[in-house]
Amino acid sequence: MKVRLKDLNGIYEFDFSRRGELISIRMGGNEFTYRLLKQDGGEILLEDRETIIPLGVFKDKGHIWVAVRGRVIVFTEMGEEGRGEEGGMEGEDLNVVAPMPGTVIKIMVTPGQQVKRGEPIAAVEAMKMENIVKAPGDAVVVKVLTQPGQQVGYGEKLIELGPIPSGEAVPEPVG
Amino acid sequence: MPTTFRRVNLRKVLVANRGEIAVRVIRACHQLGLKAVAIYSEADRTAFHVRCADEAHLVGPAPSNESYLAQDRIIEIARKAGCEAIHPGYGFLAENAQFAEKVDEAGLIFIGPSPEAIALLGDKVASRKLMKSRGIPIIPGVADETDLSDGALMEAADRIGYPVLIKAAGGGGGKGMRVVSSPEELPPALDSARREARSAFGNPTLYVERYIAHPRHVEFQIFGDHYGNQVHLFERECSVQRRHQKIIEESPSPIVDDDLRRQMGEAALEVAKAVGYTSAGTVEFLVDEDRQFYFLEVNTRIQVEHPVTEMVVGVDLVAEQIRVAQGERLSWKQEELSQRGHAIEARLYAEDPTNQFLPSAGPVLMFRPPSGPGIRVDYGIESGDEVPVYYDPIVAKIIAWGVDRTQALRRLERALEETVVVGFATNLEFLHSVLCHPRFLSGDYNTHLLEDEFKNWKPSLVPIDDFRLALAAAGWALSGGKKRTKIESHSPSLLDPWLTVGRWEVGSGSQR
Repeated sequence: MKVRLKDLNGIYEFDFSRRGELISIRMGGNEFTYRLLKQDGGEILLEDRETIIPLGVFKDKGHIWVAVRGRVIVFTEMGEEGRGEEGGMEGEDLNVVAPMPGTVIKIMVTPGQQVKRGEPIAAVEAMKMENIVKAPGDAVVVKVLTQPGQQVGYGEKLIELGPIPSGEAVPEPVG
Repeated sequence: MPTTFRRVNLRKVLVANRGEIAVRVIRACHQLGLKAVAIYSEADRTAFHVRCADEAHLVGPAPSNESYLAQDRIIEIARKAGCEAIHPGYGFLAENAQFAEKVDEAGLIFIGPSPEAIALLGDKVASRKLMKSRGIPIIPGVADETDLSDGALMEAADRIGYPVLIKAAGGGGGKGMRVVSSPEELPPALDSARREARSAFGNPTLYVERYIAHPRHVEFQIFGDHYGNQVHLFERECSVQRRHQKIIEESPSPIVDDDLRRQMGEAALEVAKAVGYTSAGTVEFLVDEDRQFYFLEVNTRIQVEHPVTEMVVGVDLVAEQIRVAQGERLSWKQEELSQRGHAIEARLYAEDPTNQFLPSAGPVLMFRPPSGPGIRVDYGIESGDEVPVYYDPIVAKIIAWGVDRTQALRRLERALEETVVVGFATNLEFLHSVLCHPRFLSGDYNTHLLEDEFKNWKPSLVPIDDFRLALAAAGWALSGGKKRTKIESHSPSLLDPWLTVGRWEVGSGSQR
């Protein structure tokens, strides 16, 4: 199966396959195979050419956490086409997510509203600090998925944005 | 001084806190054969500190002011549960004189200093005045705190000598703060600072004091009983701070030699005597580049970093707080106390150094604390728990003791490397980077260390072989893996007891 993951540093695409105990990933024309020796809850043992490495792997709310040799990596699964980081929104829907776990204080936009890159669109509060969430690019608000007072987790979707239909100028705000 | 103080044998103590410090207090109670009663908010119903206690009571909804700060509710629970004493931990109500007073009035024992000591030492202006009158060095500042006009501030600046620091009376966090290097710059700096202070705190009052360019934060542990006995238990250095939040502490301080220790120790004892201090407290000092020390303030509570003192001096400070509260005499005489070896503590926070150190929260998918010779971990979570958004982000303290600083450092580095936390972001790797930094290694650091050297810190890249393994593991998890991907809590109380019985064989005899 095709897998596309994102972490802090980049995006990784590979093919994953499993034949019994053997799990393989193929990327950049190279294949890497490991033998799955044991699985207990989130802790697994992978064997790589006679070296056994323990890993912790956990799925939680759209993230996959992997602990390997003293490091912890957090992956997010990406959809088929991938999502642009820098507000590249051609033909794609983009979700605006909570930058930290907390409580939504306010939503500054309504469906149908057009926003510009960098415009504040929501505020989330945690531990007495307020964080303003901004639009990642010029877009139109498709759907508001949360409301003030709601508890949200890190990465949880707040607002769905979509591309501005081409040819339209940003209209005057209504009301 | 009374020759006898009301001597009680406590049986049940209410722990008015949560997380790792609540666990610490519960342990001390158990060590002394006392029962510990926990309180929990709705967000902490199944928290580790609740599981460690003998019984636990709901104190309120998640937000602190409705739960861990709800004074009357806490006292009511203590009464109903038959507790004779309340230990406030640190933070929350620990330095709230009004709460200490209410506890007294309710006929319960507040495990800490008196409400009067808390109130006096909590008032920065009053405590500086007191220290000055006892000959304890304070940071040179305005002569008379009742005249803070521009003229008085300028006169003070001339007397103190430049550079000077302008500070707002109404609050901290850098607002209303200015460093001024020359008399010409002072008037406009005062204007600008006043505007900022007025807008941030609604209070335009400013102070002026000597600016200490590279201060080191060195504090002394003090302890007193109700019979007039007081001791100091030497120093801790806590200069590694991010935005005034300590992250690494050690004892002894690399900057303090025997002579300075003696002087500062005497000053700390003088502070204790000045207010007839009882229970645990900490006298904070700033030490400048010329190794001059200045009184900062007194914290009238057990502090987060108390373990480094416990490891180096070989004492149990929390148990001693309970003993003293029972009316027992101090267990130690000053002559009996000494420092042995070196201890360093790293505070593990639920925060994300790659996202401006914003607090993180989430499920504790896996928590594996370190161990080994000289390693102590005070933690407030176990695998299977949850880190809520509502409270301060301290998750665990990892402390290493060694015969000398080098051994302590090496042990702490290895311990951090062994620690695994999965499910929420932590500063684990950041802590490791700080410990390995040449300036920390050499002991040549001050409170600006993190701003100076770690502004652009990024976690190191994962070695490619390990990263590929991680991708494979992630692919496996996405392809279905196995259904249960969360480590269940290992707390025995939650395990089905039959699971631990093992295999029984009827009539199997002794041979297998």
